[in-house]
Amino acid sequence: MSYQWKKDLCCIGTYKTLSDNSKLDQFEEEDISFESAPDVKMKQLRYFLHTTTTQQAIEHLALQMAMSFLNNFSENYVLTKQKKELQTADFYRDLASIFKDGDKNIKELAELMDKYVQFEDE
Amino acid sequence: MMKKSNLYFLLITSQLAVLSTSVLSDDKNPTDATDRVNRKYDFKPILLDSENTDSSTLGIQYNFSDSLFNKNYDTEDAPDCSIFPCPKTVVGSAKVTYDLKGTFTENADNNPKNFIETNINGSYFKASMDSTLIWSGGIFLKYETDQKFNNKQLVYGLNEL
Repeated sequence: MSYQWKKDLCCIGTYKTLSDNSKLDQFEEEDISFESAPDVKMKQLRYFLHTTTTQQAIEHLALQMAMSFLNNFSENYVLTKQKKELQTADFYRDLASIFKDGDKNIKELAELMDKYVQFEDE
Repeated sequence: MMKKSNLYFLLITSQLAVLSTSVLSDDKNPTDATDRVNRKYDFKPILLDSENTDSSTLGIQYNFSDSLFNKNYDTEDAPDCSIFPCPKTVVGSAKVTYDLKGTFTENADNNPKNFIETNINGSYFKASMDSTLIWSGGIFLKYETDQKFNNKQLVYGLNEL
């Protein structure tokens, strides 16, 4: 069964962390509502890197974006591991692979968060 | 009309192009996380307008890129770390990649694209959540020449990323 975008801590947290002006500020909530957010692609986000094809630059900036996303997310939500064996570094790299791929969407980002993180409402 | 020797040359280079596609573009184990790089092995015959005559000349155009070294230096979470993501976990990587491109013809004097480029890039990246400092930098080495190696230059420097 495919991942469902719904009003739980994971999806709301993903949406708010991306949109909040004091966090990543990737879009305005007036432009992209919570309901329409899951299909929004990474290349539609405000700070997606369009200006270079240099793989090295894209990878480094995607990693920085992943760390910033997780840092901002953890300021508002208590995050615990889904499984004890999961590693932070793998989490960063998997997040970065979504941020650098323009065709990935916000729902896939939330799905990855849910894979790694056990939220309080689960 | 095309010369017989040119036809043989075209036939051989076409076969080499097919071989290069089937053999050289074979990806290594894609499950190895430290080995995900963009590989390119384009190798094809090309018909060019000659530089100094009205006729055409046959050549081989190549564009190769791959990595010489590619390794992640990620640390594991500390056993006593109760926070997720663990702030002291380090994400790091080092890479050396190369990029070769150019066009060869039977006679260099007739080659309108008489320029061969070799690029080598090295980069290093290290970051962790508890540090505001992200180490990121690299060096590059570039060698440019013509087909006869009469004119050449070496360029090197630092990359910001």
